[in-house]
Amino acid sequence: MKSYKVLFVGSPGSGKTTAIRTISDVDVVDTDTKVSDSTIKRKRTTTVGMDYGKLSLGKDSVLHLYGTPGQERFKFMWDLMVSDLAHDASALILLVDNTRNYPFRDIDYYLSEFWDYIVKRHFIIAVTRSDLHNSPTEADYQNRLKEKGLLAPILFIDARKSMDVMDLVVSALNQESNIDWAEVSHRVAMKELKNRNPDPNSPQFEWLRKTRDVAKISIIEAAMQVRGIAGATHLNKTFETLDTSQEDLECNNLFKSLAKLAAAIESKAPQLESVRSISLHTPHKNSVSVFLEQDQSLGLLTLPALTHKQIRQQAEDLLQWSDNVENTQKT
Amino acid sequence: MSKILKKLEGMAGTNCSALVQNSLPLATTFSKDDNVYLKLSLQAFALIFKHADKADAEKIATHKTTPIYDEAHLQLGERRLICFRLEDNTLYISMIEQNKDIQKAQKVIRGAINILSKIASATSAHPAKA
Repeated sequence: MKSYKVLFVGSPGSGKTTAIRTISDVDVVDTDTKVSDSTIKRKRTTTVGMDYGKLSLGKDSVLHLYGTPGQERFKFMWDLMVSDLAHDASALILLVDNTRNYPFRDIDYYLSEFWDYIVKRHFIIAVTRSDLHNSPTEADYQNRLKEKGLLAPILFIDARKSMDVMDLVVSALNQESNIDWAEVSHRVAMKELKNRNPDPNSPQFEWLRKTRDVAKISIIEAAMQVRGIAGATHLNKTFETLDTSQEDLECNNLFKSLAKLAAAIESKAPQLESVRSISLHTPHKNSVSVFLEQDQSLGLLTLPALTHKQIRQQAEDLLQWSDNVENTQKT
Repeated sequence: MSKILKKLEGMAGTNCSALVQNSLPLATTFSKDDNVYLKLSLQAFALIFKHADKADAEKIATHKTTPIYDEAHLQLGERRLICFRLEDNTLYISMIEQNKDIQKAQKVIRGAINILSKIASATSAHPAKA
């Protein structure tokens, strides 16, 4: 029996679990648990360990489908998967959520995290949720990869549609000539049809309705779900408050002052890298942090026990998912 | 004194650092290329602490007591500048890469604050001969 493997990586909510579930012959081994952090902005459960599914490619070959957890705090699982479980995978498929405010930053991040792994195998970019946000376009992604000196297939997919996910798999294993792809695709399509819920309001038909059954909440509401965050304020590019959980005027003024200061630093030293964050700390007192983007900032008041890494991860995801950014630069 | 800073950098995992009093470096391991970060951060941290003190002053007026912020971080791209406020208008500024263990650096430097303060006092009382 010949075994093939592919590894799915990508930001939280980019569709890794869904893609594996869509084509797996067996019930997917997932490690989904209730969201306890800012990911609640996007979904109610999240992968904390790994996803595993299996797809038969004929009588004597099988494809193992592995998915990493999206959140960086489970990075130890990424290391475990690339060094052990999926060390011999044929391809890495990076799922990029097109509704994130800065999807190119996700590409840069995963390229740097998985670079040694990517250079030894097929690399494919799968853009998801383009039904909800059609920009950046395929040409934009191609240009971005070209700037990085990379050539890779870029497929716009809906992770809930089995044929879209099959396109990814075929692209990942395109050098394998002994696989009857028509038979595999037919089988996967028939299975999807058989399992289809006849109710048009079921989640399976979300892609037809172009809606997602997750209640919308603001990034401030999402931030306040995170254990360790005591207050949050969302500022626009002119440092006006868009939303806040903070009644503390001094704290809000401090967020604004620090955000304005970051802009002043950037104008004073344009030759240096841009200011990503400013934070203040002392033992036995909540930390104050401001995370900055060109078009928005997020101020967070956090308990001293929360680490810099935890704060940064939460802030970056929240800024990626904010809904109320005007004229967002997709960079 | 640079030797002491180097030893501390080794333990903290930072790239370079400087002990600064009244905006003048008492000792520094910042290279010529990286000196631009030290100059910029000196002004930036002075303003960051000024804003923090202003917010604290307003809090102290209303809530009576609150500890003051003695540590500030400035993230520039993939570089993070960490500044500790010591006594007598003295700052200890270090630079670390974003992917390094910032928590460890913070802990090590905080543990060395008393020593850094003593070094700063001794150096400013007996400045090295040119």
